[in-house]
Amino acid sequence: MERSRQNQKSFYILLLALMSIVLLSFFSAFARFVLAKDYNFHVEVPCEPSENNCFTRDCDDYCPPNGLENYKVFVMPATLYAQCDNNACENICVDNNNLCSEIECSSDAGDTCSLVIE
Amino acid sequence: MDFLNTCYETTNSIRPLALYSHLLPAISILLLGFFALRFSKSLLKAKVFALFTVVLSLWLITDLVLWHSNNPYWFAMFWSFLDLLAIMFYLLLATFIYLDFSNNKFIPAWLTTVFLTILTIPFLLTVTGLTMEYFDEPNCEMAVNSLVISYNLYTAWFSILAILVMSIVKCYAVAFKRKEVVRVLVLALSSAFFLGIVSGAEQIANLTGVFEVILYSLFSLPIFILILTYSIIEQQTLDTNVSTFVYARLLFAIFVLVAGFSLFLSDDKFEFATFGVSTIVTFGFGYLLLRSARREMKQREEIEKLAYGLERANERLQILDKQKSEFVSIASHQLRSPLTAIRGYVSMMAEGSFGQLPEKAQEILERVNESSKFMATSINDFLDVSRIESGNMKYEYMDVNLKDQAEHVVDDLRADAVKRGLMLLYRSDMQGTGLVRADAGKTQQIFHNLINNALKYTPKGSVTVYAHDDVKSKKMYVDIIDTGVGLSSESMQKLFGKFARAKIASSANIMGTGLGLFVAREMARAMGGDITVQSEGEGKGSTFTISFPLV
Repeated sequence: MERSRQNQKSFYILLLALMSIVLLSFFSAFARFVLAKDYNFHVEVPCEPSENNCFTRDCDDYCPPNGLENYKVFVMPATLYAQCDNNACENICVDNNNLCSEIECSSDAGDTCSLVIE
Repeated sequence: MDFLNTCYETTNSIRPLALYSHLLPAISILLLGFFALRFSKSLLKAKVFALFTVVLSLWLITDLVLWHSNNPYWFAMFWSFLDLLAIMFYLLLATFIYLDFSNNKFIPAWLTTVFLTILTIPFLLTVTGLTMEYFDEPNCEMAVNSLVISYNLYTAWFSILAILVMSIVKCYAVAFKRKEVVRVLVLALSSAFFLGIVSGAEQIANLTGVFEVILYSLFSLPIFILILTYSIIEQQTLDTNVSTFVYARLLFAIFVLVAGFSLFLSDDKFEFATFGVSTIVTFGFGYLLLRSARREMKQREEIEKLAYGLERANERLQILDKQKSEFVSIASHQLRSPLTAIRGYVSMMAEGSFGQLPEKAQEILERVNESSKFMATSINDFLDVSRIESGNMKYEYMDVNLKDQAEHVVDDLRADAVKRGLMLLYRSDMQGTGLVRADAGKTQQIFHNLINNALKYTPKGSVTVYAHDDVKSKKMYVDIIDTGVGLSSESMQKLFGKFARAKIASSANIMGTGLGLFVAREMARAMGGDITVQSEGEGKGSTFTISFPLV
């Protein structure tokens, strides 16, 4: 009887701990990522390589759904992402560039950048 | 709220595959956990196994949501605790194997401490949101904290190593007994293989960004589930009573359900209708299967109950049989004493000890004497049966010359034979001494019994007692050959049973209890000998052969 109780107790301690961990993780993730949206998005917007220092990629190898070969990368708060329209976030990050911060393309950091023709 | 279709577009071609690779194993493993819990709920390891299946299913379903979500916020949320769930099921699998191999009936405090300590870091990273660095919108991926990736990998390695070490220790503990070693290796290697494949695929996916690798790795999961099912059901890892057949049928039902569900995702009306029909069929089929499984379990329980009842009844019968033998023994002893007095006085009266009796009275006394003699024989038979069945028959072994003993008994009974108008002959063909190791009193009783029987059941003709031996096989035989009523093959089969009498004997009105042959053979067998019978049929005489090993 005593052993059986010990058996039950040891299992329920583990069960309770795991349930608490899962539930706390779930609710904290829900609060952070869905309600507060307290994190950042990296978005891409079209870039004119003749005018700007753009990130470049060869779309024959791999291309994301936006199909951009030359692009700029912006960091934007997750809260603003819902305001992106026309399948792009240009309206937020380019037109209101105080809301986003741009990540500059740097060959030194291993990025593939376009060569700006003066 | 409408979102850009980035996530849908990145997973467009792979979503149906993701459904199959996640949903089917998730339901199967959950079902296996349910069976383990339902049929072995008293076992701690069954509970831990069920918990493992729940967490693994949760991980699979969470990952499936990622493949089917177009909402980046939900996407980020579910991705953020995916690694925590993975680490949790690695550790639960290792804990289940520890409990199985160690036969521990409770989870030791040190194990709970190690378990929760390992979980602390990913848990803290998850609740603080540090598992993610940012959401990579163009590729619909989360940039995961490299610490989480490494931690996931190290925990998987730790779990695999622990499982392998535990399996080696267990093999030593069971002294490499083949059956147990096979069970241990099947369980340990399949678990290590599964953890290795899943964690390896996650690392490759995180490093290369090719998350389809995880999908393909999950095709190892059905193999793992099959091996686990085999281990649990066939090798009785969880002492379940579920047949593999029932589980296989349920798996099939799930497969049909998933097929129907995948059609539901289609916008096509025809496919939607097909989904409806397949779902209805699946539910009907599933209901029948569950009913069948329940009936199977009920039948098993009924059989177990009946077997238990039979066992109890058998024990009770044995007690009653013993009590009956004791009763017969006591009653027979009580009858024998007054009977001895009756026979003594009758004998004295017949001999004229109390004056000359009229002829009519002499005849009556003769009948009284015959009846009391039969009664005394019957009582002796009852007592012998009682002693044989209670194991109280005593044998005093000595060297007995069976040839001489048979001859003496023939001499004793010759007068009786003549009185019946029969010839009682004795012949022998001996090469050896005829010495056997037996109880002289019992062998004499056997000869008396069989020769008396032969005389009783032979209306005319002769009874021949033939002693012979076979020195090669070291056996001594005494045949009692009569020209009497004979036996049918049916009678011969039952002849040595208790209260068994040949049909022809009953119809010929010959008195007997039907215990003499039973007692004679039981005594012969107890002394290493035997008695057999041969007859060519009713009316053709019979031959009883007593055999004993020579000294």
